[in-house]
Amino acid sequence: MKRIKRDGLVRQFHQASWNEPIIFELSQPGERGVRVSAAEAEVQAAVGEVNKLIPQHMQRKHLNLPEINQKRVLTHYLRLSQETLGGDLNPEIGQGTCTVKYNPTINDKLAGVPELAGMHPLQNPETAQGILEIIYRTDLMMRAISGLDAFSFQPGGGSQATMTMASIVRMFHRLRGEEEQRDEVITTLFSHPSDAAAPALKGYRIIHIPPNECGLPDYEAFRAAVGPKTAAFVVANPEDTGLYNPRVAEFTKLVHDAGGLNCYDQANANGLFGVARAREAGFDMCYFNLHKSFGAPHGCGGPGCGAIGVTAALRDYLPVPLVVKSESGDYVLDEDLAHTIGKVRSFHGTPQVVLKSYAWIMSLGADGLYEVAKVAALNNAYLQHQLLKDPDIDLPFNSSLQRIEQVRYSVSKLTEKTGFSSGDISNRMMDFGLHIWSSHHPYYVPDPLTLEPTESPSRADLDEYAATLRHVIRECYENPELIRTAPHRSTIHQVDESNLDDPDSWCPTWRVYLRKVDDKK
Amino acid sequence: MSKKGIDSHPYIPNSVPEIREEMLAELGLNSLEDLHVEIPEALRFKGRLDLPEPYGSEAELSREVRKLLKKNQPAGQAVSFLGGGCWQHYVPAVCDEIMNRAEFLSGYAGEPYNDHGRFQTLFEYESMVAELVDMDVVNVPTFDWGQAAATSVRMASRITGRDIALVAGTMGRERFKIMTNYCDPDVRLVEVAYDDKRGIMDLTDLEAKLSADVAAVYFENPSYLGFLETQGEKIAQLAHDVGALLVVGVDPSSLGVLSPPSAYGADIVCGDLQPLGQHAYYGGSQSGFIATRDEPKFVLEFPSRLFGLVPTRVEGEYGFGDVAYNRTSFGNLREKGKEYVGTQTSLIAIVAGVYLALMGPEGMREIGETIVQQTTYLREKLSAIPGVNPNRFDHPVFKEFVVDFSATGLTVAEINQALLEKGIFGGHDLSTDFLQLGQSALYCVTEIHRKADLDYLVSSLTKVIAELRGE
Amino acid sequence: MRKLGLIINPIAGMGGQVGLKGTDGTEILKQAISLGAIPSATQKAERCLRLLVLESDICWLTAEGAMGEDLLRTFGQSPHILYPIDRKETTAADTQRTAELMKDAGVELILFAGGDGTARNIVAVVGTDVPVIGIPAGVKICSPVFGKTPEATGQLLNRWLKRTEPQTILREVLDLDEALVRQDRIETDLFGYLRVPAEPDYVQNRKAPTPLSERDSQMAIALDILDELPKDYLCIVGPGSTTSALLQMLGLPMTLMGVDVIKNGELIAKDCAEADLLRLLETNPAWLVLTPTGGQGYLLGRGNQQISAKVLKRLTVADLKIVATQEKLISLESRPLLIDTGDADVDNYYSGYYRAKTGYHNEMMVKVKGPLNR
Repeated sequence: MKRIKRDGLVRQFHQASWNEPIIFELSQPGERGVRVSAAEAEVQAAVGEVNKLIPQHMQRKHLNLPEINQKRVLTHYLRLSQETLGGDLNPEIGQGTCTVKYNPTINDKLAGVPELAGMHPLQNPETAQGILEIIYRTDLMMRAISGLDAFSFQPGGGSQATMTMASIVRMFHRLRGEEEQRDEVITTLFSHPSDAAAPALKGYRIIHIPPNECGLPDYEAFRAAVGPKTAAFVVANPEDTGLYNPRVAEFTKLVHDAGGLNCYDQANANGLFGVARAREAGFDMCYFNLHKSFGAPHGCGGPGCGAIGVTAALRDYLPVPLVVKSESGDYVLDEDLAHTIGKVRSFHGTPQVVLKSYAWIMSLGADGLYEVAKVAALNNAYLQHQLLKDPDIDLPFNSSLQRIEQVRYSVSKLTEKTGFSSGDISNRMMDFGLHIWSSHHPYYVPDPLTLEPTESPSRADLDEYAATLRHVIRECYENPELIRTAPHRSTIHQVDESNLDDPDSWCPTWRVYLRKVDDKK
Repeated sequence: MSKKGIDSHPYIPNSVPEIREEMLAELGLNSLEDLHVEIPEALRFKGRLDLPEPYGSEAELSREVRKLLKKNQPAGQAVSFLGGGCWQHYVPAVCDEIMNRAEFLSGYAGEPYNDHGRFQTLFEYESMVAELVDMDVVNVPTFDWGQAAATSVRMASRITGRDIALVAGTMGRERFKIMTNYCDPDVRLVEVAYDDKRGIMDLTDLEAKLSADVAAVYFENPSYLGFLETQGEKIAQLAHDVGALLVVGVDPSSLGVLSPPSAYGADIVCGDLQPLGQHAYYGGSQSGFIATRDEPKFVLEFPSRLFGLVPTRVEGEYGFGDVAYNRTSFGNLREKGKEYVGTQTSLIAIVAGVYLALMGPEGMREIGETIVQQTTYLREKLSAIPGVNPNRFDHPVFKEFVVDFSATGLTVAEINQALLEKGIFGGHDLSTDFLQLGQSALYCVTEIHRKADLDYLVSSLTKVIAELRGE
Repeated sequence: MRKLGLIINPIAGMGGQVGLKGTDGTEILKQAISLGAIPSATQKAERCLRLLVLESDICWLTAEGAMGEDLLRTFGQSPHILYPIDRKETTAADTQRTAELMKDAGVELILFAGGDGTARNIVAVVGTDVPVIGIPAGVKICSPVFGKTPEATGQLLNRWLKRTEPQTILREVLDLDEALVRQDRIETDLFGYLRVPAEPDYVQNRKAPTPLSERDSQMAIALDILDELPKDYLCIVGPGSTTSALLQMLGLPMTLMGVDVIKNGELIAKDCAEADLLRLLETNPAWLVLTPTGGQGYLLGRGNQQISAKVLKRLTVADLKIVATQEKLISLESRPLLIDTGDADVDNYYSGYYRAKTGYHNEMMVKVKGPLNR
């Protein structure tokens, strides 16, 4: 048998495509997937019929769930898992702004042990010393990494963490009697949209700072925006372009001088570990996505954790409770924070995610984190170097500025010549088992692609990714029909989304589908 | 040099020195220090991060973390009566299997093609929860019940253009705090008094507080304190009479035996998915859902993703997409209370779907029956202990009920401490959150309990109380 | 049957090939031909149509010969000829007449190949009645009514025609004064608004909310202004679709191309001249609500000359409220907005940073400065 030549770099691929029915279509009346414990006979005898224990008018009449045997349920979900191309199956280089890195399997195993899985959140803290110690230790590590003084792990994701920061901002100014006066939050156009949306939820007027010709937030525009109405500045740095604002400390100083607070969205922290911190840049608060930068998995969109850190002056505003160490060395819950905003997520947030990040840091240490930042930047620069060999891929703004851990490219030349844009490329990349993402809206960079390799891919992964992207760009010229109708080797073919905006034909659930579409046939 | 990287770490392929050097060379760089040049000197962190020394091997990491976790005494390995929003139910092995699939764990934000499985599992979860609550539209879930309730109230506020929400005075305190912070400064929560004997809403107080400024009336069923709110229809009518919406929070594990809130007039239903196939994870597996009817005025106010079924260009294939995604920008209204989407709790919803598919209608009915019977049994048994009043609220319950220990002269803390020594986690102490209930605890019984567990609690309590009282 | 119109301006772009900056006027065209220019608009239209998925239920309406018929036949289509042409050279009048007939025939959309001049001819007869999109084929492409390239126009139409409820937005028709351009002076002016197909950028990976649609943004901006406008203040509303949303919000008739004045929710003056504004300002405090035009981003001095230096002297910087959708500001790529009132002192006084309203309680910092060519 001939050995396969692998120097072509572009992979032969086809994703699983099971054409699996919707779960209701699998129902066979009488089948069941699991048996449920009944109350023992003596209990039943003692209390009598259930329908006497529930008021007549509150008894359930009918429930339409599918009836399926256990094996078929398992098969169904395993097949659907095969139709989900998670980060463990492809080098998730194309998912810019999301830091999809390797989530070590050992950390998932550790989080699943009964000593954590079986922990009830309302247990006496004396019986929860293990997990409380892990939360406490992770707090200390986050302090070292950020330079800030106290962390809460309650927020369940980045946008909830931003909402928490905005809540603290409101409470801070409220207690100083400046709530009415300070009704503006400043952010930048290249920060995550949640940096504007979450403060808007808290009632703030949002002022956007546009980029200057280098792609960096315009300092003069910022200076003109800051004033006595400024409640806070909420910003990512590097922004989603990968560009680091070197004048950030001047920005934060302006805000402090005007009496506002500085909030740091550290969703893009992966290239900064041990290199630059929130404190030196003048921030009062920051948050890290543990499910991004700190190695915990995304879980198809959560549960995650947006760990929020503050300076000592703001500790008492954090959501309760915090984990503290008592004089006797026990870990206890501190519910007594004078200015607390209350709660943002139930109980203690997502301790299993904190545990995974604790384990991730403890596998790397200070030197390992520094290596993460350096290699994330190296991989990013290397990928950029490979991609810019293609004349259709451009680096917007000042191309001589080094990007940190991600790059927002533009393929507008390709779009101008072929009419194909980011989305068409994305559809075709799936035929090679890869993924690529454009940008949040509105597009400032025309026809954008945002790539963030992280520290996880090997050089071979980076080479394969770059070769495949360039291959797809070539296809845009050579075989436009192939691109227009892509994907061809993914799980399904191009979807027709035309019914999704029409109330008479959208189908958000199976029962609605049956009513609106199926019954009409 | 104080600061250095690390060679050949298994999570960092290009930390292998030779490869790193080759890559740097190709970029025309001399060392890793030639990266990050855009960060000015003054902002550089000069030292080495003050972190503990890392473990040298995976084996060591595994051993040390397990050692730390061994300091926990998990409720799951004791006889526990803790509930209060996080409940112990049996988690079928198939749920655990799917929860831990690498494909789902490491999945995130792919397209309807490469992530078809993620879209389908979440569409199926939406569809099955829709059946459970008898509503048409269910969201890709948010963080937890508290967040779901807060968003439901904000939705109601946007729909009605009003800014007061009346909430049951017996609702969970944590949820109340979450809602208060999330609704501030746009929607104000006002508590409605409750009937001291039965716990149910005081309709006179409700009527007095209802006005043309009220966007929503919110209560929980079963309530946080366990009893059933049996006046749903009446509350709905009163709310609707002034043009307010009815929002009801629900424990989905009850819906095999209890009628869904839509049956008594709820406009928005919310609740937590944790009881559907999740271990407790020290509270980390909460997940909030929101359900409404399929009417544009509701659908267009969801801040969450709603996956819908669509055709593809090939006949015989189902595809999925986002229903009315432009609604996430909330039309042209004044954007007060604009919300946002982001990473929330999708994996928990996928597993909730697995759970409901396994349970089916029979399983959901049976689990509800077991819970109601066992709860009733324990309640009756406890009433025989002198000074212990499990009928603080004299009203039907589902799986939780308030036990008032005030008459024993003891505190719940004392009693629970003594129970702990017998391997029992007593009910959640309500004495801080509900001062008016005195020394009361919230006891929770599910299908995981056996008669022996319930009897053991009764005998232990009897003993413990006697001992503590020096009898 | 779905009816679509195609108009090719066969002479569009010919001046540019020989360095003439446009082909408006017969003399210039003759000069261009004598210099060796060849018609390229047909080729541009061909590049667009090649990517268009031509469904069988589409019926093309066009003009005879080079203005559309010939090209459509090469694609195997049998177009309905609305307008016969018996001359070799076509003129602006031919474009106008064809567009007019298409409007009367009830076409779903007019696709044209040409430049700003062609767009100007079409808007003059079609106004905002029919959706129109241009294949960029002229020398001057300042108006945002064209696809980015012929290919991009084709792909955009493929998506738009598939929609059950296709959306459109109003876009400015701008044109340079060719006589001035040939003297190397770039001056655009506003000639009207076309209704252009709106297709969002390909939306994928919904991890964040979508921004508001252009229309909704305009309404949100209007709400913000109306919520904050002090009682008894005049609100002088400059031309443009963004500013006119203010009047729509109040249920008032609007003058897309003119200056209207409202006060306490009532329209008190319509399509004002400079003198009207001066008179009103004598007795009333006022806000001036302006939106920049696309292309060069003129805020004052193009298409709103009635808001003269004299008028502006009656107002202060604090009275000037700039409104624009975020997309519009983004399309200006961080360039400053321009003021050219003819009075350097006024231009200087109004220069500086402003908060442009981009939505309800949403603003973006913009820089305003004097004209480019001073």
